[in-house]
Amino acid sequence: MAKQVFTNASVTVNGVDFSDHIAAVTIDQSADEIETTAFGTAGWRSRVTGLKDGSVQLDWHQDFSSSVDATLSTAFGSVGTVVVLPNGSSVSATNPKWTCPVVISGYSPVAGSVGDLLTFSTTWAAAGAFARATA
Amino acid sequence: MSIALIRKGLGDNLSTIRGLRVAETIPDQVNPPVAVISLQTVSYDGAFQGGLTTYSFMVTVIVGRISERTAQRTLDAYISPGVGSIKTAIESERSLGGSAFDCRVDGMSNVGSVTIGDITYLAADFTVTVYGN
Repeated sequence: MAKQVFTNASVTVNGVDFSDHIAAVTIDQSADEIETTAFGTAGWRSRVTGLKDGSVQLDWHQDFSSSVDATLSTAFGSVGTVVVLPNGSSVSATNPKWTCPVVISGYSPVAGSVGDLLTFSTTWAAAGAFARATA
Repeated sequence: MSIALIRKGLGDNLSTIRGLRVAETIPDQVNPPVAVISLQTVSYDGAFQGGLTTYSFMVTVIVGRISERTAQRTLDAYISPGVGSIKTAIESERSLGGSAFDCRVDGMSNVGSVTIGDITYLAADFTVTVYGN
């Protein structure tokens, strides 16, 4: 598969598969830009990368009868692990796995308007290095 | 979860209204008062790995119009939220017999006359959203 329609992502949190309760996933990675401009850089600014950072954003469908609320309520306030694969759970060179240690610092168990599907979003900052694996 | 089972679940819930017939498919002839269930739209991939499919059903309630006043009162009873209404009946068992995650009667529209087989009836459309997979 080359370009793909994004429908089959695999998302686990602390080892629990929540793929069918998640509507969107975003892994953000960034690095600080440290300026090193000095005389002799030919009139251009010069930069190097500094500390790296990351976050994982998930859009959830709440479900009090499955393990969504139970897992997140237990994990709230601790460091957890989010594992994301873009197309199913089989790791390969064309379906890499990102393992993301995060701080589960926010959880809104109820966030909705009358008549809407009960959903919520989480954004959890990195608690360490994000790892990419292909096997 | 199958569309046939969702239809059956909607039909079973509607059947709790005394005297109201239910047609789970669009009939050639109507015998009022009757609720006709028809599928309008399906929205796939509401979650990853087929975790959520959203179905929009139309429930058209048709009542006889021999007496305009009686027909309107009968339809009003189906429309007013509360005991005996379409909304209360459908939402009385929201998993539709286990065929859905949840369902909701969103609203009612199109109150008016309809002519079927040279006979004029009074009808109203109820929009029902069903969440399944």
